[in-house]
Amino acid sequence: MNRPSLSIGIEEEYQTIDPETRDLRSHIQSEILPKAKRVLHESVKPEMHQSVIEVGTRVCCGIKEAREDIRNLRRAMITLASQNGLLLAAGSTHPFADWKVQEIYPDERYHKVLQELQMVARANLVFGLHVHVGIEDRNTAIHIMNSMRYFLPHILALSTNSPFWEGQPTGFKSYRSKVFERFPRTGIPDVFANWADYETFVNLLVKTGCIDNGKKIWWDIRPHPHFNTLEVRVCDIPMRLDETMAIAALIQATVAMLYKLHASNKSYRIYGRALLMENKFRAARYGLDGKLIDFGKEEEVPLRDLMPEYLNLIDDVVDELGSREEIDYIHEMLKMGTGADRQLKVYEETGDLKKVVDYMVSETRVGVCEPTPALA
Amino acid sequence: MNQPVLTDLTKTAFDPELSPGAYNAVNTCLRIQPSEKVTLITDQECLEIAASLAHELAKVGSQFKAFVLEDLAPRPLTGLPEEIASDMETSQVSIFAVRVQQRELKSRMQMTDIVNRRRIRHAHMVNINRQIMLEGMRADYNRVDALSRNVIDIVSRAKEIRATNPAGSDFTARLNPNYRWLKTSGIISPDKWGNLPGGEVFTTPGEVNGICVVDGVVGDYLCEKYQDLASHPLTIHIKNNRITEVFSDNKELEAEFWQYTHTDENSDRVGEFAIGTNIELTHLVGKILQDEKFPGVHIAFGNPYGAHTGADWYSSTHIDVVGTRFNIWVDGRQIMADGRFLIEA
Repeated sequence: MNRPSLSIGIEEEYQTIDPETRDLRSHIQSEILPKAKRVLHESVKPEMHQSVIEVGTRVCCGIKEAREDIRNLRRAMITLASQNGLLLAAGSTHPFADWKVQEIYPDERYHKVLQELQMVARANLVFGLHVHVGIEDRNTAIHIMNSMRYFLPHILALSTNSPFWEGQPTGFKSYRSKVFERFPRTGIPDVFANWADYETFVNLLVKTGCIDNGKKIWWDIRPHPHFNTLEVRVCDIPMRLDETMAIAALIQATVAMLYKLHASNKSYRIYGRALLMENKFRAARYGLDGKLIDFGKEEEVPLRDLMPEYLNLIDDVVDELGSREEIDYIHEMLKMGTGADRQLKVYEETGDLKKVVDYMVSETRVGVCEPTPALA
Repeated sequence: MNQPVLTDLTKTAFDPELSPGAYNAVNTCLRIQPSEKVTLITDQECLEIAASLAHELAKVGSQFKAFVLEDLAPRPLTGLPEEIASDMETSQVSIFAVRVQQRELKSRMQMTDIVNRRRIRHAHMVNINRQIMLEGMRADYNRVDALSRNVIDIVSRAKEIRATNPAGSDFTARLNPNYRWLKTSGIISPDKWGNLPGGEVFTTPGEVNGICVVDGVVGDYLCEKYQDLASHPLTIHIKNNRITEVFSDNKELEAEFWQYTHTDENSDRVGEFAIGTNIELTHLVGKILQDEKFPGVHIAFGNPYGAHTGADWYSSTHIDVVGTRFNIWVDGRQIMADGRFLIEA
């Protein structure tokens, strides 16, 4: 069994914001995208809604390279947005935008999705973080996916950044998760015996007209249909660059730790999807303030107690991955709260959702650009 | 009185690639101290490996004597040479690195009788070869020991263990609470001599019933002859702890295994139920010494090593059978899936 590359790729989806209204605004009239493509080439692309723009890193050998790449991408997009009369925000829902008035990007692919999924697709006004980790052997990827499912709720809880929807506090720390669950083939996947088992499943879906290719499988974790990566898609997009890097490092380290177990003939016990989805709900609802079920002990454990245990599990691989700095930032995240916690705090203090958006814009710049210029 | 024939293995050349495994054996597994005396037993086939071990012994600074079997008695041995037996009476550690021959089991039992009586820390490296030295002997035995302790903690309280594998095995052992579980994880203590490479926990079961499909290897001299059975598995039907039928597309293997397991009145009786715990092994190599440590279940027919397990019966034979990709349930709780130990996050 050859050791996987554990290379990293990161994709972030941003909001383009009108500086006057703080509402979402389409970027299509501002020429951001063509200008961005001239500078960033294939690292930037549109999403279905015209107020969503996605950037993605190259295939990075390690976390430091990924950090540099995503930092450059964020800076470039913030600069381009500013030059074209827009602001950029990292948040998994917009606090008060109305999905019903959002324009759809004029692309055949997105119109097909809209035709099939109708209101569910039109309402899917959410912004995520996707992290790819290179695992070249497909069977190994399946085994690690099976085991990694257990950790997805922990990772989601750490990333939560979507407490508002259409001007209302939702009571969830990650409302994005609930919106996206309305799509088919989402959530935590079932267990697969091996790559052949997974391939049989995909082929059946294609054969029966459910999907046209594996890219229409939008699980929280999936073997990417085209790249030799395991793609974790459970996360909200954090506000700060450092939060993104910490989560990406945690995902990479988790894969590395699980690979080491696999290579030494061990595996975490595999639990059924129904049980894991209980934990995912808790993570989405309560974030770091919640409790997850420890299925081995059959008891609830506060997430703030679980996270140090989780970090201890991956500690052996962190230094060899060169991600100690990024992983250590998780302790800071536990102190300051997630993006959702901080958004809610601003709202609690000001009662003004525009202030929340301002905060999101400002936080998106942290570690990337100078502080936000004074807003109107 | 004639002096025993000794060989100065410190002057025998050996491949430096053997050194890491030899270092592991001497320093990690046996933890030999400078003040201790070691009996090193080898033969012409394993001379280079023994030389690497001797080199590590010399570095530790312990006193040791090396014996080459062919210098002492004709092979196959009919008994343990007196020179070796005598030397073992004053040793704290012994190492047996030999390519054994058919019908030599008696001599090895005589050796282990001394080991048991004197509580010598004994490394049993039967049919050790270069590949095993470069693979199994390089395992991190502290990690193997840690997992072995976890496993024995689970199984030592068990009433029933069920094992299945994709090849078709499905058998259940009901355990006898009067028999002891033992751990031979590669870390060798005076309590129990250990094979090297190490990595198993074992007991004598109360009763085994079911079908065991051996798609790995069988033991004793049959291992050298037939090696990997993946393409022609041996199917063994077991009832009330006894073999009732054996099948294989390889009719020679089928007949020879049946003959071996009917040598004496208990040769067909399950004497050992074991779980391999060397988590650092990645594949079978066709050598029982290492392959029986591969993660999974293996059972053995014949001698139950009653001096250790507490079983009160005996056989002059002992043969292991190893399958692959096991699922194991202990009192209904799964502890292994597809050959991988399950741990809790």
